[in-house]
Amino acid sequence: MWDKFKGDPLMGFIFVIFGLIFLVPGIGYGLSSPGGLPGPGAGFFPTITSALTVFFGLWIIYDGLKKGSVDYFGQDPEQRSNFKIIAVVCAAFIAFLLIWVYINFFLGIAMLSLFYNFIFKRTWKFNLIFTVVLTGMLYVVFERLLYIQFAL
Amino acid sequence: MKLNFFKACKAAAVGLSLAACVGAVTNAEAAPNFPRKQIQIVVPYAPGGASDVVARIYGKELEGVLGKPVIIVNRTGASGAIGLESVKNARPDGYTMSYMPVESTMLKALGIAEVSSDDFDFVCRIMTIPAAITVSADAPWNTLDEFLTYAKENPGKVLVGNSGSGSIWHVAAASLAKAAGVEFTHVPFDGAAPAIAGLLGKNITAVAVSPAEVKANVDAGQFKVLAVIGDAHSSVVPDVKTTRELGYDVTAMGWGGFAVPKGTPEEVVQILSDASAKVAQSENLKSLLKERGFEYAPLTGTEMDAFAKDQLDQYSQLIPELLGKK
Amino acid sequence: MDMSLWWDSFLAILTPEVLMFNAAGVLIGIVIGALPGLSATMAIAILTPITFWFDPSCGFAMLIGVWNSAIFAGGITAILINTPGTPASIASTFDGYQMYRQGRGGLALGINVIYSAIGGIISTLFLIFLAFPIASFTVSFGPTEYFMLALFGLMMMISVSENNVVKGMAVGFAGLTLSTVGIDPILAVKRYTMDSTSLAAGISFLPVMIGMFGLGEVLNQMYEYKQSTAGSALEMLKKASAKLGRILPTWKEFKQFFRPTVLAGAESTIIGAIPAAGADIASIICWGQAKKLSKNPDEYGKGSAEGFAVSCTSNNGVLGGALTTMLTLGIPGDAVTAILIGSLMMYGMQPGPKMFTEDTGFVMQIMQLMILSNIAIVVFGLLSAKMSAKILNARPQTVWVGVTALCVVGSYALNNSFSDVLLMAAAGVVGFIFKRGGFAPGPFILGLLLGGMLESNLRRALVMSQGSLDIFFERPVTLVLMILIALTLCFPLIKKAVLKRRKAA
Repeated sequence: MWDKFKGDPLMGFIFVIFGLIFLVPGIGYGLSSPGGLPGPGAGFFPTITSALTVFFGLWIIYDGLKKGSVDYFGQDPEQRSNFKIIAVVCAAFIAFLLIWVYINFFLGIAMLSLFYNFIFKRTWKFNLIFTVVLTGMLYVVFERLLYIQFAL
Repeated sequence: MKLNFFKACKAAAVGLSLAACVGAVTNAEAAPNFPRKQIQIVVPYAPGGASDVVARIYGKELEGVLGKPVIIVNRTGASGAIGLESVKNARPDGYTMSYMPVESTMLKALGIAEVSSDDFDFVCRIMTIPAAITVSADAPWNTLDEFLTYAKENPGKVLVGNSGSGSIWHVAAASLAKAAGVEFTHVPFDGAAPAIAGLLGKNITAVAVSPAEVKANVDAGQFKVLAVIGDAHSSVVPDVKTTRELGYDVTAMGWGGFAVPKGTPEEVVQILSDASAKVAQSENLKSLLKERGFEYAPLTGTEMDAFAKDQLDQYSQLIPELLGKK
Repeated sequence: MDMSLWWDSFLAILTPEVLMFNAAGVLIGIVIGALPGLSATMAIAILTPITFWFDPSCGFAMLIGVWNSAIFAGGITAILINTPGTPASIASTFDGYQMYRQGRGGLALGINVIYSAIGGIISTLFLIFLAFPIASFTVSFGPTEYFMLALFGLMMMISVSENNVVKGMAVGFAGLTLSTVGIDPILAVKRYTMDSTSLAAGISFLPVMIGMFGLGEVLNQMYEYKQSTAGSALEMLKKASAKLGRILPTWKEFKQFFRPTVLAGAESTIIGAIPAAGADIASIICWGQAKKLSKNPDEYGKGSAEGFAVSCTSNNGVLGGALTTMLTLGIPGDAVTAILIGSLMMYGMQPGPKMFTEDTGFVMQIMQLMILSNIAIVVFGLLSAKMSAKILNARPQTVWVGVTALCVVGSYALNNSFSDVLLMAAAGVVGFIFKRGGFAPGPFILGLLLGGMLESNLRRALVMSQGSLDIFFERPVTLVLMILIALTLCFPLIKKAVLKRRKAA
C-alpha cells in the first residue's frame, strides 16, 4: 500500500509542505501596506505564489495516486548500485567543504580530485596528472589572475 | 682593592648602558611590523560602481605607500550588509579593511542587519556625495520653492524616485519632505540608473540621486537640478544652492571612507590612518573624484570616527521617524 | 551620417594595435564566458583600469571584444555540460545540450559561433541606423511595461515544462516563492531571512542555476552510468563526433533559420535597449516566441537546431540594444554598460545625446568595433570549435570531476561567498531529484529569476498610481503587451479550432 506513495505523491507532498512553510509567515507579513501606504504589502506576492505551489503540489499527489507515478529510480540493478557511489561522492564533497573551511581550499580540491578519480577507477598516473593540472590551473587563473581569495 | 672596585663599577656601568641600548633596540623592533603580507579591501557593492572604482584607486595608491599588495574583493547583497558583516567578523589584524558607505550608519536603524559603524574603527573618509533634487528640464518649476509649493498643494502627487527603499537618497528626500512640511510619494527603484530612466521617460516627477549620476542628462538639457542636499555646493553643478542656503535644515548625504574591524591594535590603525592621509593627497585619487563628480572631502581616522558616530546617532533617530511616514 | 568621418574612424581602427587589443579581448572573453560563474562584468571590471594606460580606441577594442565573446562563449558550456557560462545562455541549454547528447555537438558549436556573431551584427545595425528612435521608445518603459515583460517571460514557463505542465507549474511557483526570500523591494522589510544576513541578500540566482543544470546533470549521469553499456555508448558518441566535418549548418538549414533568427535579433535588440532588461530575459522571450511561430515547434527543447540558433542570436543581440541606450541617453542598461560609461568619462567623454555631436568619431568607432569583434568571434570561434569538439571525446568520469570543481569555483567566484557554494550544492541535489522525477528545472529557474522583476514592478506601479489598477490600462504599450500575452495564451486553442474547421471542411 505504501508503494503507491513512492515517487510522485511523495514529491507532491514535499511541494505542499514547502508551500505551507512559506505561506504561513507570508500571510504574517501583511497583505496590505502598513500606515495606509499605497500598494499591496510585503506578504501579498509570497502568499499567492506559495498558495499556488500548495495547489499544484496537491494536484501532483492526486495525479500520482490516480494515474501512477513516474519511475524515479528505475529497476535496473546496475543503476541502483550507483546509489552507493553517489552517497560516497556526496560524503567526500562534505569532507572537501570541511577541509576548505578549516584548512585550505587548494588542498581540499586536490584531495577531492584524487578521491573522485580513485572511486571512478582511473589509473594512478592519470589521477595524479589530472589533480596537479586541475589544482594548478585553478590556482593560476583564479587566485593569481582574478584575485579571488578562497581563504575564508 | 679600590682599583678592582672601580673597575667593577666601570664594567657595571658599561654593561648597564649596553643593556639599555639593546633594550631600546629590541623595543623598537617590537613595534608592529605591519603590513607583512597583502591587505584585502572588501567593497560591499558591485564591480564597476562608484564605490568600487574609488576603492580600487585608493587600493592602488595604498599599495604604493605601504609597499605590500592591496586587493579588492567585492561582496554584494542586502544593501551592503553582506560585505560589511564579513569584515566585522574578520580577524581584527588590519589585513582586512572595508569600504564604508553612509549605509553603514543606517542598516541597523533600517532593521536590515545588526552591523553598524560602531563595529569599526575608521582610518579615513575620502569623499561625500550630496543628493540633487532633479526634475525634467521642461518642468514648470525653476526653483526649489516653486517645486515645494506645488508639492504642498498636491500632497502625494509628486513622485520622487530613489535608488531603493531605505537608501540614502530615499532618506534625503524624506528629510526634505519633513522639513518642508510636504508629502511626496517615494517610488523605490533597483538602483539609481532605473530611477533616472524613470525620470527620462516621464514616469516620475523628480529624482533624488547624486549630481554625478544626472550630470550627463543635465548637460544634454534633459534635466535641471533645483537644489542640492549636502553641506557644500556640488562641483558638478556649482551654481545650484544647497537646501540649507534655501532655508531648509536638511543635510543627508552619501559618503565613502575606509575602516578596519573594531579591536584592531592601536598601532595598526595608526599606520593605516597615516597611510590613508598620504593616499588622500594623491593626484590620481583627486582627479578620479573630480571626473566622477564626487566631492573630495578627506577626514582623518579619528575625525571620521567622530563624524560617523554623529551620523549613526542622527539616522538612528531619523529613520524610525521616517519609516512611519515612508 | 557623415561618410568621410565614418571612413576616417574606420581607418583609425584598422591599425595593428587596435586589432591586437580586440583579438586579445575576444580570446579573454572566450575563456571567461565559458567558465560558469565568471561573468563578463567581472572581466571588464578588472580589465578597465588596465585599459587606461592605452589609447581609448585600443582600450575599448579590448572591452568590447570581451563583452561580445563572453556572451558567445557562455553557449559553449551550455552545449557541453548543460551549464550556461553566463545567465544569458540559459535558453541555449534547452536545445544545445540535447544536440550534444544526440551526437550533433559539433554542429551546435558551429551554430553558436555563427549565430552569435549574426546577433551581434544585427543589433549593431539597429544601433547605427535607429539608435535614437529605439532609445526614446524604450526609455518610456515604466513599471507597468516591465511587469508585462516579466509576465511574458514567465509565460515561457509553460513552453519549457517539457511533458508535464502540472509539474512545471508547481516547480515554477516554487521558484517564484523562493525569489521573495530577502528584503522586500518596496518596503525594505525582511522576508524569510531567519536572522541570517546571507538570506537577507536573497537566494542568489546564478549559484542555483549552476547547481541545478551543472552539478545536477553530473549526479544524474553518475546514476545512469552503466559499466556494461558504457563502452558502446562511448563508441557511438565518438563515431558521431568524428563526423565532425559538419560544424557549419547546411545551406538549407541556413535558409530555414533565416527568418526566426533575424526576428529574434530584432526583438533582442529592443529588449536590450530597455534599461535593466538583459540578455537572460531577452533570450528566453525570443526562444519562446520563435517556438510559437516555428514550423516545427515540437522539436524545440529536444535538440532543435533552429531553436538553438535563435537562442544564440538573441543573447548576443542584446548588446547592440544596451549600447543604444547607453550612448544615446547615458543610462546604463546593465552592469557592463555602467562600467563602460565610467570608462568613457575617464577619457573625457560624456555618454548621452551630446556625445553624438561632440565625439561622433568615437561613437562611430564603437559601432565599428562591435562589428569587428563579431567578425573576430567567427574566426576564433570556429577555430576553438574544433578544439572544444575534442572535449566531446573525453570520458564521462573526467567530465564529472572537472565540472564539479568548476561548479564549486564558479559559484564561489561570483560573490566571494561560501554560502553560495552551499546553495549550489543543494541546488545540485534538488536538480538531480527533479531530473529523475520528470520535473523540468526550466520553470524553477525562470521563477527565481523573474520573480523579483515581476513583483517589484507590480508594486512599484501601484505605488505610483496610489493603489489604483487603472494604471495598467491607461498606458498604450502596456495594453499592447497585455494583448500579446493573451494571444500567446490562446494561440494553441486558436490553432486547434482552426485545424478542426479545416478537417470538417
